[in-house]
Amino acid sequence: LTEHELIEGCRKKIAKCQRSLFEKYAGRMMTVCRRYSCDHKEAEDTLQESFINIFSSIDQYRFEGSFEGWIRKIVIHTAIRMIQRKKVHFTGLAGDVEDAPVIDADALDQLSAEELLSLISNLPDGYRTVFNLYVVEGYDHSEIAAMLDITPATSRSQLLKARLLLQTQIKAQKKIPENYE
Amino acid sequence: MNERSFDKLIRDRLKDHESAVPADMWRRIHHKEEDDRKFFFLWPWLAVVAVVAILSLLAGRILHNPAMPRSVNLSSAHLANSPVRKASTTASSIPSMRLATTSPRPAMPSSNSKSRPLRPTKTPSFLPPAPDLSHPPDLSHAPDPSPTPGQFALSAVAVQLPQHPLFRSAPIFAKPLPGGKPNPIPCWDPTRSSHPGTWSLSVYGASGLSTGAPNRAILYGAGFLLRKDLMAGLSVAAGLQYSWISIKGLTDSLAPFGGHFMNVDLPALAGYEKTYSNFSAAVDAGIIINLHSTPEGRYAAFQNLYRSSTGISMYLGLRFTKELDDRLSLFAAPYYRRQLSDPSGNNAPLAQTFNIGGLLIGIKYNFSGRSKQ
Repeated sequence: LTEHELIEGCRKKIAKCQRSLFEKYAGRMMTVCRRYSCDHKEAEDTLQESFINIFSSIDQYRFEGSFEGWIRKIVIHTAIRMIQRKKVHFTGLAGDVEDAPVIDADALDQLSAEELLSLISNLPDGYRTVFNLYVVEGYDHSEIAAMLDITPATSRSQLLKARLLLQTQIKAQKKIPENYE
Repeated sequence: MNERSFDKLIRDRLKDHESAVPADMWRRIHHKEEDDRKFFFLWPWLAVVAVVAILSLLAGRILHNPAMPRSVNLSSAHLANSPVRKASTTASSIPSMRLATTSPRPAMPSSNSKSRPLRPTKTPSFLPPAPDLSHPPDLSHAPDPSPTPGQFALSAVAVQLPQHPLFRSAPIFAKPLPGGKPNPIPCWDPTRSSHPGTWSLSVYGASGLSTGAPNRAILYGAGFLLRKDLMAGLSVAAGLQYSWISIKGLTDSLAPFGGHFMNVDLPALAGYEKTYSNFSAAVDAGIIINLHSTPEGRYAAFQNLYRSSTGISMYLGLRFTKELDDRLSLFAAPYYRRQLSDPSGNNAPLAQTFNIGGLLIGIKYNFSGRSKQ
């Protein structure tokens, strides 16, 4: 089945097409869910909710732009909604941010994607959400501020803290030789 | 390594990574979706069942009220002053009076040889025995409301339900059944239906809920309708409505949460109303023209992506009205409103379409007053 046929089948609620669509994108979307979730259980719940939302609103897709991009947006939206249900407080910086440990590119190469996902999951909800939206999704601070109902300054400070904490965690993984600092 | 490089490395590392998905994930999604779909298809039927149950309850209360005597409204002054009264005070002398009686007695001889004798009618088992019509009550002290000739026949055959609070204020017209059988079902009362040219003003509060993804919206609003009765229960109405629509659902794009729209609408409706004593039921249908729609709160950032008008919606509603006095009425109107177009493009974070089902509750002021009609 082509992607177009798959989408049309999902619009007609054909279970076989829905399953094919799920199997095609579930792995990549699970990675997205894990990036926004604090643990694997929460990521699974987000993925489940996301695909239910995708199937229920697939009529809204107008064959403009990438279908995977459309799916990804719904997954991100669902993930943010689940974070917001936890009533996360995005607090600004109280003082100066200390410099993050300097890490070389090779140091990051030593980390597997799974290890990186695990480190991102360990970030506090607010840091993790802003970090993902800015670094991975590519939104700017004004857009993030609108999405999360925070100020752009708070978004910036959350990002700085997230970077600092993540780099400190990478260093603490002892994957980084001393000469990389 | 600077921040930009750090970000790029992380982005590239995670871009196409696929994580393991639990084996039973598809089964969970499929079952959840099936459950949701069952509920989605179930709720309209639940609404229909609820409406039927309410109407059945109402009908049951009217027809099976043990405190409700089925007496003929012979106390009417119309009868006391009428030529028919002078000719004979028996129900059998007035052919139309057979409609409202439930007497099992054989017909009495008529003073008018041309009139058909009253045939025996069988009393339904759920009704109490009918009074003996051969001895009508004393009518000499009844007030004289000076009825028009056309109203006389209606009053003479009206069945009084004085014990029932719904119908204390007015009699119900009992429409004849074929064969002269009594009709226990309350029927349309033409003396209380709409009168051509009558104006009324309705002020109401509105609430509503959207019916599905992606716009799970909650609507609160208020408005007014100026209504003009035309003829035979038909009316037209127009007004203004201000509504606040909160969006909390899934969008087709990454959207902010909890935003809302402020809408100003112009409803233009046509209605058909049936009046039962001091209670009436009506069907309203028409269009709602959106005059202005403004994204507020977090949606204000995306204002340039939205149209200032959402266009035209179709409106279909029921309206149940209870008279409080000859001018004021209380009404409740369940409705469904379907928008005919989606004015926002695919770039907008949220579709600007609102298909909403809900309830209007308000007060209607009749400028003419029932007593003057």
